Amino acid sequence: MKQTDLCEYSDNDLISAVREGKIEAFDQIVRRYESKVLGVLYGMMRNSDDARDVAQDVFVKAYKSVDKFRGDSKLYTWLYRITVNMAIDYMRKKQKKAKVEYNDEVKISDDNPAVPVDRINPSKTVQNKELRTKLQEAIEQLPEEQKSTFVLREMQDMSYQEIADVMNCSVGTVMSRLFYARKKVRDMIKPYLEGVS
Amino acid sequence: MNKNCEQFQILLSGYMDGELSAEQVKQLEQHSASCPECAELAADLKAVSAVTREYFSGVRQAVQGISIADEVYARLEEPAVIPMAQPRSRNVFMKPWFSAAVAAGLAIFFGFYFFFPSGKDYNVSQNTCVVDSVETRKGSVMVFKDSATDTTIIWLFSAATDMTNSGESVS
Ligand SMILES: [Zn+2]
Repeated sequence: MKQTDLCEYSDNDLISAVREGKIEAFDQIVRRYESKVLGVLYGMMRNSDDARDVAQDVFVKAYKSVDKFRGDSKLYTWLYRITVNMAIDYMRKKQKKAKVEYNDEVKISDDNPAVPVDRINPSKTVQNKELRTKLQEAIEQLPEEQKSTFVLREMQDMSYQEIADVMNCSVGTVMSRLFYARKKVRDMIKPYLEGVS
Repeated sequence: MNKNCEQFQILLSGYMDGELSAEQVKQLEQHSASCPECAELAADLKAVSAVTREYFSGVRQAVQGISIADEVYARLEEPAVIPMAQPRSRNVFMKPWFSAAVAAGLAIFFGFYFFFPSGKDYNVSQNTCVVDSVETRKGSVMVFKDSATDTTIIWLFSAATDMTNSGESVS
């Protein structure tokens, strides 16, 4: 099976091939979805090394539990679910650790941004460095479930139903989590919101 | 704040995301028209969403240039780590460098006992290889054979000594 052939496989065909032990089929799944998974993780975590590590773990876990994937949900929904669960798990463990240890995590600065700044081409509003930093801080401080919901909506533009499927909750819960998340972020960046609509 | 405000505010996210029913939209718009507080919050939340989406769009672009596929592939190809207690493939363990490395590493890091027929000190030679290993609840036993001197070496490790890492790092 060549990579070029695999590009044309549907998600379900790839999953079947993985179940038959074809590791290259899973490689194709990784290449197809790594940007989405990385996007969510970079949105949830300020440390890019953490995001990369968790992204790898997400796919390794998906590979190992491929038998648990049932065709009744979309592959990306399933991958997002693993992503969100692992990210929440990771952040909780890290918070716990940070409470008992000196937190020597590299502080995000312009020299060491969560995402290489040269790759980002922010438009006028977010060019404001202070606003960007405040925004990152605000997102970071959200409770994990609110943070995940917020990122899935604002980063991936998912519908409430899709988010509910990923987060295993009701559409109403998605709506209220989003409201409280946005309100908290608003409270932290309020001074910068003048003139933004 | 109007005492009804909260019940309308909770709908604001759904309103901006187009997730409300027509009836909910109507009620919310009616309330906001007469409530400056809710109208201001609605405008703020829209602004928050706009700013966040701009920031996230930069993040999305940034991750386009990043791939973890090779690292993942390498991890999938890794053989499962086989704990010391399990029977394992002989060919790796028969290599002289393996036993020499284990001997050197363990001699430094772990407490162990040598049992030799002679009771004398013994230097592990390059020709030493592992013949067998057994693990029990109380500890591990490794049997080495040194073909140069035709000596059998039996190492005992107490259960308190964590052996699993040494097996992983060498393989
Ligand atoms: Zn009101």
